[in-house]
Amino acid sequence: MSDVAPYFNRELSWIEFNRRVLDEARQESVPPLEKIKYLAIVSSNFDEFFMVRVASVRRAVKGGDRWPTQLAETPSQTLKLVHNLYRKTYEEQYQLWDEIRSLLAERGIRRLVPSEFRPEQLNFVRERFQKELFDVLSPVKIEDNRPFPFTGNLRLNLAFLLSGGSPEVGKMIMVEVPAYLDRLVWLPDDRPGASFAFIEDIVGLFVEQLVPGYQIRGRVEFRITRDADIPVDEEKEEDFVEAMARILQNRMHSHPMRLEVRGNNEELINRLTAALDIDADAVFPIPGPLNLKDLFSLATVSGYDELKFPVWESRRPLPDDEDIWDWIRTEDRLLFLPYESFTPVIRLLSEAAVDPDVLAIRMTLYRTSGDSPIVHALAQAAREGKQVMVLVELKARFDEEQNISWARTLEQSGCTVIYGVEGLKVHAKALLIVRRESDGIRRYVHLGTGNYNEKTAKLYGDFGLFTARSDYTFEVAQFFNAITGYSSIGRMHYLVMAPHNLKSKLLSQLEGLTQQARQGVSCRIRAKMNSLADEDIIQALYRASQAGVNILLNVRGICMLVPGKDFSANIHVISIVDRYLEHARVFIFQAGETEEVFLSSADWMFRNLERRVELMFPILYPPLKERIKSAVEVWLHDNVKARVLTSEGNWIRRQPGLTDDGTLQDELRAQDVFHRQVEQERRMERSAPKRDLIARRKPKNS
Amino acid sequence: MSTQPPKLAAVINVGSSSIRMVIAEILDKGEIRFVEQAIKFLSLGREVYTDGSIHKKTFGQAIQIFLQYKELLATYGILPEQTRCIGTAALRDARNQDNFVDRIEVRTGFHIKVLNGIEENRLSYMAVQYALRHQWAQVSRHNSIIAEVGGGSTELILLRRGMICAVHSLSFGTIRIEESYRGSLEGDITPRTLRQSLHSTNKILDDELKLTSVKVFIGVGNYARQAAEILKAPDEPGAWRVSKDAWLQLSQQIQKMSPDEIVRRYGLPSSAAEGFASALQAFYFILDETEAEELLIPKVGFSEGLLVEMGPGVDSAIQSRFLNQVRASALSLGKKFHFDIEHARHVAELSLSIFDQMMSDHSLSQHERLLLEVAALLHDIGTYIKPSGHHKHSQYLVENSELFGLSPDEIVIVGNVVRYHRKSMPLPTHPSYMALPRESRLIVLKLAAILRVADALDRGHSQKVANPRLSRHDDQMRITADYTADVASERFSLAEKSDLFEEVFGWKTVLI
Repeated sequence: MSDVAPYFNRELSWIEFNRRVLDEARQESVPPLEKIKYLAIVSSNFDEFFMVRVASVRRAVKGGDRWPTQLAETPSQTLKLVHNLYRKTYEEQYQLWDEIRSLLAERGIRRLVPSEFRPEQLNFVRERFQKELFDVLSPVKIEDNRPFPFTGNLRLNLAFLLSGGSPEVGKMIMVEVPAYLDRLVWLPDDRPGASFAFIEDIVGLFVEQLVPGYQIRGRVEFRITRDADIPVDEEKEEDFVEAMARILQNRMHSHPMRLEVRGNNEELINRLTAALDIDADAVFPIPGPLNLKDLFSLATVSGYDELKFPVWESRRPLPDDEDIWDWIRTEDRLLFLPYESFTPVIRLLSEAAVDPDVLAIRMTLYRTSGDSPIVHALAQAAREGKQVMVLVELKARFDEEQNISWARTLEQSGCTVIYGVEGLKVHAKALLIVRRESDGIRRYVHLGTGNYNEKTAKLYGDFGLFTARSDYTFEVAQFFNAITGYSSIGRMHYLVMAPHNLKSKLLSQLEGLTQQARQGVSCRIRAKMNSLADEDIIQALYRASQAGVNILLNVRGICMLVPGKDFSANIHVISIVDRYLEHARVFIFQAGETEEVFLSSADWMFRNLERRVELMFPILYPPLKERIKSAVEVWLHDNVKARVLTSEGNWIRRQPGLTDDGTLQDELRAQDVFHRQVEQERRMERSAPKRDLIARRKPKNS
Repeated sequence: MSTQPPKLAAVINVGSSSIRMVIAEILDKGEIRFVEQAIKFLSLGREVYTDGSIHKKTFGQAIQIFLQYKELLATYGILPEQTRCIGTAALRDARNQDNFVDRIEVRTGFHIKVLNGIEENRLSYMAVQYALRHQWAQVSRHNSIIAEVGGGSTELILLRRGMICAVHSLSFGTIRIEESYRGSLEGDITPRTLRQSLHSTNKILDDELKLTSVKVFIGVGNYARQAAEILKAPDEPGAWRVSKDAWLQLSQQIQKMSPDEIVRRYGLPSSAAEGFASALQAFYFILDETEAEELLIPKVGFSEGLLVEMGPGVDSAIQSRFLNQVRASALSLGKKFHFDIEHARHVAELSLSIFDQMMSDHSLSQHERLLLEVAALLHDIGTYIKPSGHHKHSQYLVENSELFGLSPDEIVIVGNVVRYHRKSMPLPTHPSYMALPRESRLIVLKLAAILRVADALDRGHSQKVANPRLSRHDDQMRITADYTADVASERFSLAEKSDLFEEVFGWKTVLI
């Protein structure tokens, strides 16, 4: 990194984040199966990275090796740095895999290769092969100077060199392992889950059955990652759903960005790369099983709780016997996921679905889970005759296939499904319920920083707001009217919307603080987000820093901002990686006595601010403001899982006991603090007598 | 839980640059609470003011918008036929207005009523009164002006201590102006055109109310609201306040920006940026003519006037005050031509009395009643030019004067009624009459028939016949009245002038 560069390289910063995730797998305090999970996350992340980011860097290389704006490294330099850092990272990842594997073996879970199979295990896999694999595996010839057979995207393939059988020498075949088969094959053992094998080893063991008359001379495993950054031509396509389905199809054929190969048969590898016509710098020899993403099923194996994080039960902020409408109407409510349970959202939807007074439900769905209670509730509401409008974002990356199927389910039940907004991904998370009550129409709203997905709601740290404030929810209704095409965007006083005015509002906030700081007002910005990569925003932060605004940033992932230089002396950046994925976006702007607290679905990235529909919304109710502010303070004081970004671009893990300025501090792990807080509340709720018992007690006096 | 939820009402307003929908609850005492609001931009004004009619492509877009609004209304169980749809300036001036209204109705079920000037002014005035109900006491202590700079015209309402004393419509409209000067290199066209437009009215304005005595400036319409929001003007119930300086600053700033920059900088839809600079200038120009130091900008618009009207708490005083104003305007025109005010007032009184007793015969509305009253007041002004053929001179004078509160179409109706208050009945050879649409011709016939009878009853210009009472006997309409003197000449005159009455209503009239 050059000394004058005002930004860190975005792609390298992204890889650095994954290195921080990987580093968690090194921590002794992390149980072995959780370490496995971190390895899997990193693999999964890199898949997406190659499909999207590397693809776009490569396109920039081809398009004249220039970025739209001046950055320290050219695209081709970036590509090289990315490849190198990736190589270094996965080598460490596989080294960790070996270490954790022996750790697991000590604790009773062993990965076996065929030579280690006991007779009953061998019988088991043979039977398994006959029953489940033989019919679905189809060997395909690979011929030099002929088009390479279809290999799809991210699929696990085995290539074999054959000999014998016919005069043909050096015949090469490949076998794809279908994605729907479990990657890990659990073997019979003394204790369930005590041993497993990778499916490719079993395929390798019996592959000769597929090519009778041949002998196997060599074997490699490979996996191709393709360019998935193919835009939909929204102007041209009549049926957007069909267009999306076609894109998914195209993704299977687009240019390879990465070839992962495992095995050391030079001849096979050379012929493979030649046949695939892949750039040499995109070939990565992998020192272990491909696609560690599949280790999620190892990490979640049942039993072995001692090898996992202790269970942190979430608190239910809404008592089961309390009326949800009253609960929201009496005051604004905050949901702090996953420490608090997602159930109020589900309850709100399922009660709305059958409530005779509910007139309409409007909602955005970005990434939702498989058999989702949300989708069921919406479908039911539509069947009950309510006007249900769902904005399904088909373009949610890599969930498109899932999304298309939900969208169709919803449509069939009578929901109005709107497939996104032209040219923009709808990333805002908003839910609006219109209810006719005795004193008139009332709107109930939930706005969040995370997706409406009850599965990730257990793993991602997010905030959600429930409110029934009339003027505030009126704007949410306007927001829906705007994104569903009923209306142009009106002026809003509370909500800030991207791409409409979110960026300009942020910039004017920063500018406002900068000016006030210059006049001697004490100003502070505390912001938490996943990524900070918008150059205009970063420049505004630099100006604010120079004006004396104190800026504390908690950025989980990419951070292009360079802190601690003379132009950014007042900016401090930390990143927290822990058992829950930090996902909440919180922005606090403070000038003197005035302090505004916002939550948002948007990161401070170009794509969020200008290419997506996002929301930033203020927290008005003082107790909730206080709660969010204190959470932000806790994060900023984390000294266990937090790392500090240096002006050179290194992330230094904070040491418990010592703060940045050298004062002594107790060990503080933010996620643990939040967990213990709700744990304490849960205990108090449990020990407290039921409220209705108190309510029925006769007053002692009068 | 047994109480009835508040009534829901919906209004759709087809304006010069947008189609706007408001769904609201009408609470007790006429209070309005918004439930849903939608606006879609459509350049009706631009098309009408350049080509005279709405383009075919725009028909389709408008239909789409109405269909979407229909969906949104369905959420609240409101049907198209329960929705009040109104069209204003642009639609009123569109040559293919009927075609447009018909297409929308056939395809979407919404019936658009194209408002005339008087109705529009009334609603606008009512919306302002509603929005400023907290400030009204203060407003009515001073002379004030309500100004609305729009795409096609600029409307001014002058109030003397809270009472309307004049209404004017200037031909200055931002879209009109920008269209006619498109591509011209001349810079500040706005002040010049506006000055010209205002100058011709200025004299009249001064007669009615000197602008220099105006202390309160009320800015109405989308442009004004837009500016207040951009300026983050101090908020008070129902309105914003913007200082003259802040307004000027914004106006100058916007002046230097291209429409694209305006859109980007302030996050406005592009059609809302059209004419914005001209509008800001125009407001400032008018403001500068007054003594006001700030603009008071009501948060609600024209559609809210309709909602107020639909509510239970309509202030009938607001309406009658407005009608008074139209009446006063007719009288001041009459005075200008030295009419016999006693006769004019008496004929008007007689006409209205007959009109009111014949509701089942003519089935006309309060609105036509007003036209009759104005015609009765002005029927003789042509004698100022020459007594002989004075009915024709009256028509000419009426049709070429400013009668506030009346639209050009309405003024032509009044002119025709005046024309037929004596002599020939309408004939197919009369071009001015034949040029009217059929419905208007019917109105002219009915009103002129009544006016002829009323005029006959004051043949002597001495107000001898008062309090006429109508009774029907076979084919006779008998008029009983209070006399103060011999009414022979009136009887004679009635026999002569009741021809049209008999023809139109089928009754022979007899003064008993």
